[in-house]
Amino acid sequence: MKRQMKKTLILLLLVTGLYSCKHEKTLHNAVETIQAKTELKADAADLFEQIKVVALETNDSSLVGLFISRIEVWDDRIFILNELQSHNNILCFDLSGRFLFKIERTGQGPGEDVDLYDFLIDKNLNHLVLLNGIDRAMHFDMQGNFLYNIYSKDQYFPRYTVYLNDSTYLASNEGGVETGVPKGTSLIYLDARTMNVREKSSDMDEYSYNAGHNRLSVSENRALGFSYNDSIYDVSDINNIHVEYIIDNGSWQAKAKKKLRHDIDQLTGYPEQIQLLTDFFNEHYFSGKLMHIKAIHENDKYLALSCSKPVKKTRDIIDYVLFHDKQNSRTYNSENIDFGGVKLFNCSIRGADESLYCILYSTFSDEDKAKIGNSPVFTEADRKKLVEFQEEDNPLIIVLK
Amino acid sequence: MKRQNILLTLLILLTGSCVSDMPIEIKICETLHKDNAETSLVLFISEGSCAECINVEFQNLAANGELIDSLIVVGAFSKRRYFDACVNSIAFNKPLKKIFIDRSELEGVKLKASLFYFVYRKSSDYSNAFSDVFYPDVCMQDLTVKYYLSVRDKISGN
Repeated sequence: MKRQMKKTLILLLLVTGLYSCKHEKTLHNAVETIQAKTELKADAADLFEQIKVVALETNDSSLVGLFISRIEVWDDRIFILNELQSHNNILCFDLSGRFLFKIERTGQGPGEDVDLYDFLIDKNLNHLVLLNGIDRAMHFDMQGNFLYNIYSKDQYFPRYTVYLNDSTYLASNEGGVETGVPKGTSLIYLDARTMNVREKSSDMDEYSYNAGHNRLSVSENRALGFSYNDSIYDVSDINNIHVEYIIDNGSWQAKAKKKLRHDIDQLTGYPEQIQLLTDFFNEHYFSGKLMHIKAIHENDKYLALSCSKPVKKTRDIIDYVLFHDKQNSRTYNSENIDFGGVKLFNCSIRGADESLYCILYSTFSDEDKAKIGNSPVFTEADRKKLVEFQEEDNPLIIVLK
Repeated sequence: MKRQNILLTLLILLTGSCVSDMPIEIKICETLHKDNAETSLVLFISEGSCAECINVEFQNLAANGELIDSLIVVGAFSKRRYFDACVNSIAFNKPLKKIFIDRSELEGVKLKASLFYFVYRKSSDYSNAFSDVFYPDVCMQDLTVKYYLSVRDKISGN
């Protein structure tokens, strides 16, 4: 009897052991690590099947301000959320970069708003939907004509909103403030017709806790969100949020963020928590230790992380992109990708479909211009655009597929 | 010891001379003077200004359209495009006079605020050509309107 019990116990332990091994292996396989400090070098021609340059027309009406915050390409048009020093507007260009129109309506009337915060394209209605970040969606047609306003009856702070399907938008909500949506809720489904909250993520889930109000990435297959704990989550189903990628930027960052999380947990007030986050960022970002992700986007082949870093000598901040090859699990820093003798310096990605839309802010040196002249990566017409690109021109868009 | 003191004094003098105490108003007046500008109401904006603050002032000015003829918007930005994009986006009913200053030219210039108004008086001595400096407050726009009224006579006729 004793022997029988012993056998059962051994069997039970074995099964449990196997199960836990299997479980651990599954988890390990499911979550991929992105090496942020990658030094892999590559030729652009080996990474991308197609590389195109779009020079956005520069004239008095089409000037891009400080940054391009968002790019949506739809109906053979490029729509840009243009961040000016004073406010935001929408610029529309055709695929060749010819300026078509802008939406610039500052005021309180129909189709006007002082605060244009974000926009999306409702692919079902074929509408541009401009959002003021509080309670209002302004619908425009694809020619920039105002159609109607929708006011939500719910109170929330949508900080980045994406079109999910015919009836639903997914928004990252400013989760630290008590509104109609419980404090701590970072993701909400919005009814596209009413802009009312249809469903909200649990305020207890890990993503909500960490995400704040970061930008989302949406592709045909899934929606992704990133968080302060250096994880990227699949947030397609806000009731089943799970980690897809972990970003490894070295042991210092991992330890510092763990301590930060612990310190934040000791604080109960939202302003104090934000202050702690701000102090942490200011102390470590400007010394170059802390990696800062500004946006994520993906297409079939790559997950692209748009990051920024300070330049010690000039005190400027420049952008770079980590391209994570999803099939081969390899990550490339844009600064190590050779575009036929030149690198894309100070670039960021703010939109994606089958292509990634990479914004190039910095012009090329004379030496680089000479190299571009011989670069096989670009067509002759694109080489001309790159060489002629001037400091005061609108930034270039490099379309990578 | 004496030599060390002299070296120290020289070092202090050299370090001190790197930071100019020139008020920003004089720097702007110098630019306006070079540009042969007439007596005007000047709105100074810069890359550090808050978005809402600029926006509110543009709206105030649009609502007081008679000031536009005598207004010069001066912008200190790292790129001219940033300034032009910001100013061009506002639909005033008249053409707007604007002057760009490269932000790097303001290194070491004393900047009390990133946005303010003052009256520029055309004069051969640009160091003494400004008056009526006003720092608007987004929450107290009635003060801005009172300010417009108070300087109207000084800038009229241009």
